[in-house]
Amino acid sequence: MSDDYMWDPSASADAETERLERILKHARYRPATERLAFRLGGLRPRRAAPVWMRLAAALAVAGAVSGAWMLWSARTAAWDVQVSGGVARIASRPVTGAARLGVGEWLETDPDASARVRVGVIGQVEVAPGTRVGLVSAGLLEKRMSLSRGTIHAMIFAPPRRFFVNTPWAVAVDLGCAYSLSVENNGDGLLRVTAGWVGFQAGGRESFIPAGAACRTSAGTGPGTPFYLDSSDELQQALAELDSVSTAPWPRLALERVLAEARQRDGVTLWHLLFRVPPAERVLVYQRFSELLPVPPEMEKDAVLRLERRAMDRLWNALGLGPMQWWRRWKWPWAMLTPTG
Amino acid sequence: MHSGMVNGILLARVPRPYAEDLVQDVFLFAFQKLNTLREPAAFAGWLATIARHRAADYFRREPRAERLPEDLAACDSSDEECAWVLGQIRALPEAYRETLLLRLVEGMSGPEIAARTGLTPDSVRVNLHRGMKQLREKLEREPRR
Repeated sequence: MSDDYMWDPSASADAETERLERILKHARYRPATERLAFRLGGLRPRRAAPVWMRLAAALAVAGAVSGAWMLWSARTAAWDVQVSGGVARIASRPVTGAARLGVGEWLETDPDASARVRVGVIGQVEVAPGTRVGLVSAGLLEKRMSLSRGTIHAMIFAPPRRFFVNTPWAVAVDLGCAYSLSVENNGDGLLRVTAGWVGFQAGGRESFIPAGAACRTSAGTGPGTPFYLDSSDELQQALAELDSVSTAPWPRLALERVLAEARQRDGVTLWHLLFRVPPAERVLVYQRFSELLPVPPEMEKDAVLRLERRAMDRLWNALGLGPMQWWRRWKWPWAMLTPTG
Repeated sequence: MHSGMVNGILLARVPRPYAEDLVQDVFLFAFQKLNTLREPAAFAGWLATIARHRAADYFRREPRAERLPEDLAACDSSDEECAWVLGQIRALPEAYRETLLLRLVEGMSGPEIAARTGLTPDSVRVNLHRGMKQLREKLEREPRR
């Protein structure tokens, strides 16, 4: 029996364990809609409703849901705040206990105070001691805060791209998740995702960070490359070196260290690196990616090296991080598809 | 992201068809109680606790429902085999069931299981090792007929 394989599925496979996994995959969680389709099996209606009727029904449902959603969200233009452990300030006024944070106001917590902010009805933000955070907008479709220093922990239950946090060098975009975001006095930031996904973007550069992973941001370079928190120290240090480079010379040795240390689940890191390394280095990243992950046999290497959309889609699918259609709708605005060189 | 963890925890306690429905129930309950969560970073462990409680509630509400055929939803031989192996895992000591199911059904790594369930990495490693050993012995001792 291979304990290594039980601990780390990217290690050498154990045949018996693999057999059990094959058998048990039928019990893996599937969303309700998928289960319904599975249970219906080959059943087909005798005659499908006309397209216009299905479209009208879909629009009616979407309209009803949107209306309910907007009414639900409209309850809040200023957000409830509960301060504990000390004194905070809202718009420079000292606050203890319950208060309200309005659009355009800043909330500052003392070194011994923390605060909980209700983000309308879609979630909450815990504000750590010594933090300065502002409310930029509390609209129905976009809620935005600004974090100038300190740490917040956000938990949001809403459709993706409804809640944003500005930091000095990047914007955190909620994709349905829980995460912590810290900003140092010099503006450098670190985003750690606890659940779901978070996008971190600035200009045309965007990073997608899954649960268990983190991403740095700093002056001049915007959002860094996402990395799993359980990846090796060597990988994280080398990645920090790569992320800090905005001009020549390119730290080739750092890239080689990242590639050498990468495990299968670090494919997310490598996928992002394809967009960020100079074109001449892309082949190294692709080569390592294809060693670690099952790249489709029909994959055209040259198309990946040119960062063609279809090829990058297929490469993303190899990561096993969800259906591409869903990603394209919610998480991938294609802004990041700008080659670096 | 967390639905797999909740599914694994429920499968360790209730038959599969009920686990599927209880997953929705757990998330609904969690959403209603979200304001009681003090520390967002503890979300995964909090959700895991809710899942365990909901599974216990299920037995309190429907004490004999577990006697329904395990393969209620089975429609082919692969599903039947899956249901049988799940039954074998549920017969293991409680400490091993959850960890094994999160690994074998949901494909989580040891560190992921530790992060999601709140167990220490050492405990997860021991549970995986001992649980897998007992499962193999059980499958050899009582092969499927």
